[in-house]
Amino acid sequence: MKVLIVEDEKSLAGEMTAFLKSEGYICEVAHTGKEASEKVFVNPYDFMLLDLSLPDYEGLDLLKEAKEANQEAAVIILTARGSTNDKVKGLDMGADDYLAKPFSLLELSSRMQAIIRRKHGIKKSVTDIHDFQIDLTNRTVSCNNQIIGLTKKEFDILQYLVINKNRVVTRMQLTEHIWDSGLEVDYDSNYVDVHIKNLRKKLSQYANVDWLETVRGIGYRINLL
Amino acid sequence: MKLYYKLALINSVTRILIVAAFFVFAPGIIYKAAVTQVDSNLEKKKARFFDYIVARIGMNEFMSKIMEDSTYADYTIFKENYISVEPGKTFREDTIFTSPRDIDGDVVQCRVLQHNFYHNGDIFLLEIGESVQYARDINTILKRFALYTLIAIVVLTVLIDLGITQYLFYPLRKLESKLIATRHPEKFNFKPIETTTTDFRYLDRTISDMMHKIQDAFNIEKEFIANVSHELLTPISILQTRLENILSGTGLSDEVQIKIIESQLTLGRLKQIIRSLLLISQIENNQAPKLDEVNIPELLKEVADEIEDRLSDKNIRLQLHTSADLTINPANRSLLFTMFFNLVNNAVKYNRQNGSINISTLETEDHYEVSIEDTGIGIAPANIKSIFYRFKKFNAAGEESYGLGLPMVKTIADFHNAEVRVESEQGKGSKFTVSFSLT
Repeated sequence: MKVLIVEDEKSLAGEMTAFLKSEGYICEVAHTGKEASEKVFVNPYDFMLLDLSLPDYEGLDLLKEAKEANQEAAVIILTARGSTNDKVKGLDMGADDYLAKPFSLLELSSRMQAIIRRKHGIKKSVTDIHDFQIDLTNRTVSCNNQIIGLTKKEFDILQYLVINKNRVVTRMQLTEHIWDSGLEVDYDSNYVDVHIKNLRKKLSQYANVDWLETVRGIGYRINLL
Repeated sequence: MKLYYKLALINSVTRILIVAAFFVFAPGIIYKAAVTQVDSNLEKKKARFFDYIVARIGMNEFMSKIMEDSTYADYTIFKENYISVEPGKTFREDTIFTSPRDIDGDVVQCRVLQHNFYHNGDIFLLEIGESVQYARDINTILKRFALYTLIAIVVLTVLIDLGITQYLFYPLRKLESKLIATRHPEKFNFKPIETTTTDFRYLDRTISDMMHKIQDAFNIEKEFIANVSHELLTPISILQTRLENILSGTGLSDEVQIKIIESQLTLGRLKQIIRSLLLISQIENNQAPKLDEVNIPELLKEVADEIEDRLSDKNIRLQLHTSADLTINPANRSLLFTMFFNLVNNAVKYNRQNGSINISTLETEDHYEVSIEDTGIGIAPANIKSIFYRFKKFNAAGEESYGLGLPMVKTIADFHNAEVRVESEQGKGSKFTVSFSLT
């Protein structure tokens, strides 16, 4: 997967590149709109991560150009402007998703994976986790063909951990993922722990859940070989 | 009271006063004027009488006639005058007085001039009278008919006045409606009102200038907010991603990892504050869209569902009674959701173990009210006034708060023309009521 990161803030572009490389993506960075505009016409990309507020370029114009040059590319808009207007316009102009800065890298990667599943028409998006089967499309979890009833938030947490498997996901990352950013999020609260406890209780009735590991003081991790 | 009505009222009152004054003083003035006129006539006629007698009859002959008949009275020498000459008793200065006289069988009020003169050593008395009846008649007629006429004149002039002032004040009313239509300085219509009155032009121009200045200030503030949000959120983005990358690296001791997590939490808090401030500013600057149709009972159900997982920790019972129905259009769904979520979330946060939360709706004649009642710690009376101020915190120890939840509630309520009320008893609980105006 080839990703073009269009971000004038070099440090941020650097952190994104480092993370996406570790996730197995091939990354290119454009620090200016002009540079990005040239790159999209020369190279084909699977993903474009586009910062709309570039000093030298109108972000929405760049989105238009990128879409014309690279119809197959999925575009995720990244902006600190926080204006709903930009979001609506961007999505109208063919962007696939929208992330408000500051965002979590895990959130970025899970959004990218969701787009990949959607774009490539992956019908069967069932992931086996030890004795459980998790269907990301139909949002169900089953064990031996028996569907386990989970609440929306429990499924969201499980799914997020599955997408970021073998990696510690902090409470904060989980909190931000399952609660809308507009609401007052209580980072210090133990709501996530309560959900995990309930999740473990439900799953352990069917099979062993040792693979859902608590990393003390940090967060949770799904271990999958 | 509107200026237009005030002017009309003042005009009517002054007219009525003038008319009343006329009625009180007019009869006297008319009478006085008539008497003055008649008196001066009488003086002239006295002179003319002697000329007439000397020229026509001869003074001696006339006087001898008087001596024979002892009196002379005639009404025909001068028109409308009565003249009599008779021997007098004592000589006195000329006097003029009002007295009734019998003229052709009618008793009429007359002004009478008495003049004594000597003829051949004898004193004679000349009386010349002139009727002042007409002055009395005029006053009678005035009283009878003029009252109606004057009332008619007052009514007519007041109506004409109203018409004229209405015409003159038309630009002012247009200016007024222009201001009423301006709910926010951004929406001000800069098209000048058409008027030839310089005062109104000046007023209109001054208001337009002020609006320009306010708009400029708003634009600067908006730009400032946009810039600040960008400038602050970007470094936070860098820090957040960097910390995430460090954390996912290998070979970190547990201690370092926990330090990083703590830094992330601090960063999260900073992020939350900036986002909340940004949201409040956006709403206050009218930058938030209002494009949704929102059914309040449905929204409350969603809020209750969203909050459900936070109840179990304190074993709180949440009851939702939405008997009254209301759909708001236009509204901002996500903002209203945030508003109710913040209120219910507070009700959870500050509740006691095994407490309860009651969400209910009430429709009155002109308001629709949503009440969120909890059995929590309550708010001290001294703090109730300032709970909607930014960064004011009165929460119990151990609860995380940025002091922006309730200010945001108030801002969102204002944005939807709703009012937020709070009743609270310390130790018993609080009741927050959002009241939407139905008019």
